[in-house]
Amino acid sequence: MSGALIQYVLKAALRDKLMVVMLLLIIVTTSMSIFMASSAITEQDQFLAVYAAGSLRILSILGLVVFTAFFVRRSFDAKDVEFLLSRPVSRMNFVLSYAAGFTILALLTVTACSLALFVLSPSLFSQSFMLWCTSVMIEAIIMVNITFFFSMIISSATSSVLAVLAFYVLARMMGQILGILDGTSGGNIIEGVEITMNMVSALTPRLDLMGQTSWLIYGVGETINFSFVMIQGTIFVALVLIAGLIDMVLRQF
Amino acid sequence: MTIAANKKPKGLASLKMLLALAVIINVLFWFDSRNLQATWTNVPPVPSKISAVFPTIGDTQFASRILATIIQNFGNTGGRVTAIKEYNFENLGDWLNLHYELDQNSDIMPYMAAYYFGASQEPKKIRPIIEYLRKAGNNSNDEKWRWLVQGIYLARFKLNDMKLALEMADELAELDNDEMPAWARRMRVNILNQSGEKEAALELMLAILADKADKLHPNEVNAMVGYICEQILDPQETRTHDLCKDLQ
Repeated sequence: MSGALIQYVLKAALRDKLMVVMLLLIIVTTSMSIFMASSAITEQDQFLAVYAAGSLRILSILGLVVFTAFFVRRSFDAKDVEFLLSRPVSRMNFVLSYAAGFTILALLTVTACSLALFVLSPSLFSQSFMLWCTSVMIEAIIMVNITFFFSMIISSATSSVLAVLAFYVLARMMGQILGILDGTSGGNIIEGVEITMNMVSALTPRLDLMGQTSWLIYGVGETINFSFVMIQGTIFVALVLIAGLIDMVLRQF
Repeated sequence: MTIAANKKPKGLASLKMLLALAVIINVLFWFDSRNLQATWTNVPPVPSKISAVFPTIGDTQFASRILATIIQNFGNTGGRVTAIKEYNFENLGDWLNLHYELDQNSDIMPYMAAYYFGASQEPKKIRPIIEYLRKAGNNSNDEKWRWLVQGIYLARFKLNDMKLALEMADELAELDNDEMPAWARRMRVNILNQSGEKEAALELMLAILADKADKLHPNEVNAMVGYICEQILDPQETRTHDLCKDLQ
């Protein structure tokens, strides 16, 4: 990995005012959550925690995906990548450095969201809160790396953002979809759909099991823990990075 | 080539005319739309669970909180409020059950069912609310049994369905909860003995407050005190009752 390339990504985020905009949006989102929660007839604290956590989770992913997609496409379209690769930087080094840069941005963004949530409700601090923060961080790292990969292979930034968001929705709804298929019995078509969805789910991270806002109120169940979150993050990021590396190695400039 | 300062661009006069025309059409349209208000077509049919969860992208707790806010604001359209007795209670019951599917631990919906929807001026319609309280209270965790107690009270004294009230009292007696007070296990005897709604309601509320006030959300305690002082007791009794002193 190249420190200079990582800095290049971070400076681009600063130049695009990503962090400033994210901080402003975090303030707006938490303010909206306070407003919405205060209208609840009871359990206002729980409403506040859930509204803020659920919204900040979606906000952080949206901000990171949009920045990553447009930055990567701009790098390719403006021939920045060709210029960088003409220097003593290997293609593997380029992909890993960019991925590291995006990962640092994901960590910074989710840390800011977690701090906002903590400031909003200090009483939330617990092991469940830490697991929520960690799993949203891992989710953000997965999503920036998926966006990086999609943006390398899709030539339009807008299409890339839409494709990543569709993937994100699929990954977060996967539990619901599999649950429906498990509870449905039918003919060949349903069986075909079930086989297809099982194949798709095998290569889709189970984001529905990550960052659940219910953890903040009722604690974490027995099925999810830190090791599940870390293992899922590691194996999926590895899959996406290897696919990205292969694409980069085979790419003709 | 630049346009000379004293020479107006070609077609500018026509564009200004079109702009003026567009403004006039907007104002004319406003005369028609000014008095239109959104109308509430009563409690809509309940969505499926997956439709409810979709807007929050699979986060069921987030979906349940949004659903609770929606249910809480039913009937409040553009500043106009609809009386609860006008609600479609069958559909409302379905919404409450959907919320129960998403979150069985929250107390906001049972709270609303017991103190808000259950206080409808049309008691004959509240059967779906009672069925919901029966489901929410049939739970050995924490203080959930109190929702079954509220359901029994509504069934016995509002719906006047003794059979349903006794069935629920039997379910309450069999709940596996060591924290539940003895009077709750004796609900069957109590509802058979009590003839007056007022005495029954007062006894029930005071018993819950005496036993469990420290474990309930302050808003719920306030709602119970308000219910006692404003719904159960008459103005004369309210003035003298110790519990109601702070409300005067």
